[in-house]
Amino acid sequence: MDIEHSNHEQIAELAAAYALDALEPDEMRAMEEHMRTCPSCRTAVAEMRSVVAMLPYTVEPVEPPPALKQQLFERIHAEAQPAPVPFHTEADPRTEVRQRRGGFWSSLFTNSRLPVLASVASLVLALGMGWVAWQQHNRAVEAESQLARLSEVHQITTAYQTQVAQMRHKGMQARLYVVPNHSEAYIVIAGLPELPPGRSYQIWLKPPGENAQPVSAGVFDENTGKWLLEANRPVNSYDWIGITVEPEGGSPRPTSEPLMGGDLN
Amino acid sequence: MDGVQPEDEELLAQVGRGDENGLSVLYDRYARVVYSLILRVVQNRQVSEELTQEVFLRVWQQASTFHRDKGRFASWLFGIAHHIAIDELRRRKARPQQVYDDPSISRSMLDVTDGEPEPEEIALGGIRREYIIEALSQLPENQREVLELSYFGGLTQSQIAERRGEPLGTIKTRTRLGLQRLRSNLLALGLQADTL
Ligand SMILES: [Zn+2]
Repeated sequence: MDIEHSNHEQIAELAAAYALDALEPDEMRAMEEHMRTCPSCRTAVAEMRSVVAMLPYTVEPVEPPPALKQQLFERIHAEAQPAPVPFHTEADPRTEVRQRRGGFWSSLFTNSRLPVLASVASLVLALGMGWVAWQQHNRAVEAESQLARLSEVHQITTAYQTQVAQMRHKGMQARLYVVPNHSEAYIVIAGLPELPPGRSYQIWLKPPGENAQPVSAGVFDENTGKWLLEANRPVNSYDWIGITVEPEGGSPRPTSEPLMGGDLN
Repeated sequence: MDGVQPEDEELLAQVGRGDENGLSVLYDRYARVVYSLILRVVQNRQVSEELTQEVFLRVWQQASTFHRDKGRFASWLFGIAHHIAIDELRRRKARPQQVYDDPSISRSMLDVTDGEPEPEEIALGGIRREYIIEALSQLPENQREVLELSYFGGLTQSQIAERRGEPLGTIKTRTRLGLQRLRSNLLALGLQADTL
């Protein structure tokens, strides 16, 4: 079929329907063909499209599942590289952090900007809590509280005021979902280096103040997973979040340099 | 943190050169709107997740084909997302209907939520989502309806005409007027012309 128009209104009508994907399939194809040689229609379509592009914002926003982004990048990698490079062939981030002069935790208390933080990408958030980390797959937990937890996660990730902090370092990733003034937060962690035997990961929060000691926010053993963190202090009361490797079951205070960390202000 | 946000089009150019970081930033900026749009159209979470991935995969693969004369990145992105969602909807309608609807998913175009600023504001240059909803709600009912039936319902102009029992020409005119009026409403509410 051919696209014909003799005036501006017809062009605008075609452009409007085209921009909304509301032409019949054969008309759609004909319009695409026609636009190649008709600058008026191209301009009209661009204008209509920019208005149509406002319509998605009228939809009630729903947060996509956190794992979706990681899956996307896994798919991209899978398609780009038939033989993906395993994590452990990279430099051990712990080794690298230890090379920094003065040690990480001591530098925290001298209030200096940390070299390791410079490589932590886009942390978009202010937050802090004293927390208890739960392992999502903890078999000891009864089904009922698991349900409550899922509903809590849903509330955290779909709330309008939810803030998302992202930490990324050397193939490790963490995404933290926080609702301001909410007593719980949700964290998704992926790609931590394999744990040596007899060790656990531990999450730390550093309260403000030069002499304040980091407090434990939870202990876990999987290098990838999702955890609900329960707060016992108000949001924004901590400066920094980090993950270290500790003796199995966790330590009262961090005994190693952080694998990854981020500023919470 | 650096206060200056790189422009979408700048990030897309990085993506075109194979930079995953550019894609990551664009994803963080737009995944929620894209996912919500697709969910609104197809009304199924799992399908929406797959299609959202598909959209960003296409951005990754087709970034180098984008030219600024096609308009803004967001228009292009939402065009891809809408197309994919509508395709799915039409394919599904060609078969016997599955049980797909999720009652917890909003069906109204005018659900307004209160107060807090949202991440989309960055993409919109500070304009609040409420303004866009307001601009839409100011349209005459029959114009808003054709926009909703076509954009979210996936109906073609002919299908709308048939369903409404009105001449095709009337529906075409109404669609055009709806979008033109929406544009001027948005400008009147303070949306910058270069955002449109
Ligand atoms: Zn033309």
